[in-house]
Amino acid sequence: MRDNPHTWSFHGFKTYPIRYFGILLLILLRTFFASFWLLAGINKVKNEWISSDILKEIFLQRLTELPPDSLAVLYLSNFAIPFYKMIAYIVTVGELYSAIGLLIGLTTKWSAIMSLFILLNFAIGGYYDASLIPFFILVFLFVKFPTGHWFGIDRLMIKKYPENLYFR
Amino acid sequence: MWIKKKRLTFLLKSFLAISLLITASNVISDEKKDKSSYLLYSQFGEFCTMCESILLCGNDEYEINDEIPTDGKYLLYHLRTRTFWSQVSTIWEFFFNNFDTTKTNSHKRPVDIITIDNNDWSNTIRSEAIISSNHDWFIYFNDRKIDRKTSNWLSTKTNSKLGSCERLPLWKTIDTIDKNRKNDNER
Repeated sequence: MRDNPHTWSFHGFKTYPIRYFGILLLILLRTFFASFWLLAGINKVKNEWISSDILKEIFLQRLTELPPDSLAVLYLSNFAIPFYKMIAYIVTVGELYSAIGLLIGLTTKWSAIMSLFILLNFAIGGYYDASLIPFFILVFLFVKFPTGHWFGIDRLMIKKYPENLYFR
Repeated sequence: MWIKKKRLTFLLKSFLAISLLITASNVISDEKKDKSSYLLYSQFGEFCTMCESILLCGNDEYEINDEIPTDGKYLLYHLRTRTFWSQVSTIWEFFFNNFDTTKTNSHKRPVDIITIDNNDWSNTIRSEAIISSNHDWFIYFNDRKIDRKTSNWLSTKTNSKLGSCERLPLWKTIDTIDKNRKNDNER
């Protein structure tokens, strides 16, 4: 129990240095990823994604850049453009929720699942590039490991509500 | 009581961190909208990672009007998508550009260059272009460059004007390039 990362201890660092290094690295990466997501979400609020039709214009421009017979064109034409208001809302609020959740470690796994959902939609919608690969890897790690229990508010919440799925 | 105090401190620290990030992001200016007339820049920002573009440059004798003219001498630049690692590096670019908008940003990407002389197409030469933004708005090729603000085509060494450039419709021009490549093979 002494060496469990749930109870940070100097002895733990000394006994399992690699394990603790991995945990610290993942927490650092979570903070970086969350900050990135937060900046992206704030940019969307500032660019009036929710209150204007800017996302529709972005999608329309993207249509001209994509190969006409691609899956992304099909996705944009039949789903993203008709429902751009809903998508703008989900992406903006979703990014902010994920960012705050991952940053403070509250509902961490759900925040990561939301990030995964948004990333998948970016990829299908033709906004894919190699920068999505590290993001997908990170998000899978945040879903797999209880990083919110290592460092975050989930650590406190799970003690109070051990059965609650949100803080798992 | 001690736990509550600790919890409160943690919450306060978290909110402080978020506030700092929000303040830092305010550095992003509204200049984007003014730059939408710059070459390869759109109302939504810089030329995207996975975007391709075709620029046709020539002296100002002939009008281009969205098509490759059949007479006159031109250089056609087909700017390709960024390379794998260049795409990955956009993570850092995005992140740090939110905090420091004062420095010049540039990225490299592959470019195919074709010389067209009175409808006679040369073989494609693969080279590298540097697309620069923020303060230094140029697209650099080996010995030539394009001013993104004016679309002027310039000599890199002497800075003298060689002509001007125009962005051509992508997919239509790719078809034209493919057709001319086929013609090359047939010959």
